[in-house]
Amino acid sequence: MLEIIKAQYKSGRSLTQNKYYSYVNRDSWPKFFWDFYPIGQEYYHELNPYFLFQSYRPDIYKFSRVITVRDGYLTFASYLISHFKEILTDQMRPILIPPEFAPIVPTNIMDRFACWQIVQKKQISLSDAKKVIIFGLISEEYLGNLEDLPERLLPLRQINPEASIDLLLPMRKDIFGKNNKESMVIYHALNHIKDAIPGKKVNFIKVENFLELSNLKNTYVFDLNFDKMVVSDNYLHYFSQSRGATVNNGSLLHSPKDSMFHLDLSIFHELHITPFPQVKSVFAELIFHKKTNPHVDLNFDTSFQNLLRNMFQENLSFSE
Amino acid sequence: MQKIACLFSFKMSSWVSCQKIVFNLHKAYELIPGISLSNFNYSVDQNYDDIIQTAKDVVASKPNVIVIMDHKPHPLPLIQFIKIELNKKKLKTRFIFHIFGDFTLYYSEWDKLSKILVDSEVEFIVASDRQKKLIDNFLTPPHNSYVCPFPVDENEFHFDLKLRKSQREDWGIKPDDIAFVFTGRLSRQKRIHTLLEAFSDFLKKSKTQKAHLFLYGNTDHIGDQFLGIWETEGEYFRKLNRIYKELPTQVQNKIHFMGSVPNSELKDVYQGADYLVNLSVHNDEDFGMSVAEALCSGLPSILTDWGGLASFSNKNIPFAAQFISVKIGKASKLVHYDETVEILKKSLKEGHLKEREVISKDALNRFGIIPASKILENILHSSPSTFSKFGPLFEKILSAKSFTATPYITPRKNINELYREIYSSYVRDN
Repeated sequence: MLEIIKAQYKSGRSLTQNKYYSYVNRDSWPKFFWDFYPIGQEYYHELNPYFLFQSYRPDIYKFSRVITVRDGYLTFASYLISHFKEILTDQMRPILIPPEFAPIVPTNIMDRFACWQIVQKKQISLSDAKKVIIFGLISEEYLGNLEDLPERLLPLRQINPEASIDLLLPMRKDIFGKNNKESMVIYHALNHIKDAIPGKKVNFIKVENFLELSNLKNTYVFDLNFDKMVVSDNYLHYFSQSRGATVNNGSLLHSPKDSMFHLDLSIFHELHITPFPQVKSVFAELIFHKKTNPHVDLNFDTSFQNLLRNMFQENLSFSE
Repeated sequence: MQKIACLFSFKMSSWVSCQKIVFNLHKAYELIPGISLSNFNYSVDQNYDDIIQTAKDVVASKPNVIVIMDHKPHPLPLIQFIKIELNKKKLKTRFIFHIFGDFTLYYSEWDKLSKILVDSEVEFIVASDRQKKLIDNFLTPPHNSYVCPFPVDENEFHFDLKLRKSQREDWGIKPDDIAFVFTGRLSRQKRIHTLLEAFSDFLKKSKTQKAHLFLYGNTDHIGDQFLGIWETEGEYFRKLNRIYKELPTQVQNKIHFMGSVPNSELKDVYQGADYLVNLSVHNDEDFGMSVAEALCSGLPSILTDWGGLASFSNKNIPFAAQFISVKIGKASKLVHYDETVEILKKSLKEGHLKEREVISKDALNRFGIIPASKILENILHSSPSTFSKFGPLFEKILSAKSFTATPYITPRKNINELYREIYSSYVRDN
């Protein structure tokens, strides 16, 4: 596998490159992709960062034998259920995923997978940051259970009194939801944030304002993302870390000991490829769910979403 | 008393150099005696109602001159409404447009605007002689264009060697080391990849351990769209990183990627450094604000002989700015590689620490706010000319653009005659 990864690196070809732009019919991507803005914005490295749900036809990856998966666990699981046979019968085409997604992978195709991890050697704490940007897509899938939000916001109390605080809260309908019911998420989320940083002056910014920032060296980006259901490789994290910011996304401070390949994503952060971990697969449970609900699009199936979310909340039980 | 309406975006531009340009231009206007300035916000955040209101406010101020200082947003919608208001009130005024390097990106907007401005008193102010040549190629005589370099604020950038020691300590270099710096976007058209390779060759050929290269700024993904090169974010960074990783370790140790820093820190950088290096062949290179600031700080520069960078040539102090030849090749703009290496080598032997105060004084006399103010005063006192229309080259571009998104390259991706016709003004006459 490492040889294929090295060959892929050498070729430098990625579907995100402009030369392949006309090959991809963006109208064939699922509609929810457009709700991913800005977290799903494209960027480039030689190991082809891409969303599996954008693979609307099997030959789309012919330019690149490696895919660095950017999907969240929902669309990743959904893709595996629909395509696991293709992955098995196809020529070896390494799929790089976050290590915590490993238990979703069927046992018989685990040899096709490796893991990616982000390393940022210089990080600051929330209390050291001169500027804090609180980011969240205002959507229930992204923020998770709002009752737990106050607890997840507790770290914000460490913010230095002198630090400036920006709020970047683009609103989205429920990305994987089917109804257009009125949502109270924004009100609840704002109330919780207000309670977490009482008396602090905050500045609301738009995505465009954020994307104009060039120097984020003393900045901490606090992402309200509950888990990796929507996306595992968030463009805003890439953007922030590329400009020196620290993000609460679990980036490692040191290279993993089992790192077998790495490349720099910016002068501040690196992508490391590590072997697939020893885990027990829960794929059978997911297949069972599909068999009992054969006609449902899993991405929009709330019981499938809950099944996965519960599994990931109890992720320790995945380890062997 | 001339009444001048200054139009610019109250919201800061994402282009750092443009933020400063507008700010400093405004200061230059403020110094002109016998005028009164009124400021009006014209920014991308405004909707049509806001723009109409701005147009009404501008005309209500009864200005003798309307000055469009900013590069963004394009003035077309605002001028449309201003003309309507002027016609309603049967007023006439003079328009002055400060032209930035991005003029050539907005032909269709300028075309529409030109139709509105027919028979009006219009002047274009550009920042360098070569940009004037480029703009004049689009205009029909009389050319209503003037040169006023984008001004540098002396309070920010001036000679101050006190800062040198601490900056070099921060960099961790010795007093007799030579520090080359680049400041700006690390962009394909700024030829950072060429700079890395040339710097590496220079180190090998000169066998020196004393030279360092400090690169300030983030990589971008602008590519070179005129020549059919579009990049995805991260692509140019990966290109540079791969070149860097393939260099010998001892060379890597001499190249320092510093990322973006606040503009206020650049004054220290320019004092700490020995040379500014800028190999830009950017289509928008109408001037070179970072070069002007470096020179005003007394820092000698090594520059490509391309576009507005040529305006930093100085016959009285030739070492203040040394030039590397550029030509428009078959498929790309070519920076003379051997000359780059040779100039870097030569720089190692020369040191201009003693002459830096002279460089700074001379540069401030040419690029400071006060000289800019005098140029602008002369322009305001000159008799205005009437605008008729853009000329045949402009029509030719519009026509080409209506057929293809890449009007400057052949189907084989070679540079075509149209590009050469426009950008021949950016290279030295043979």
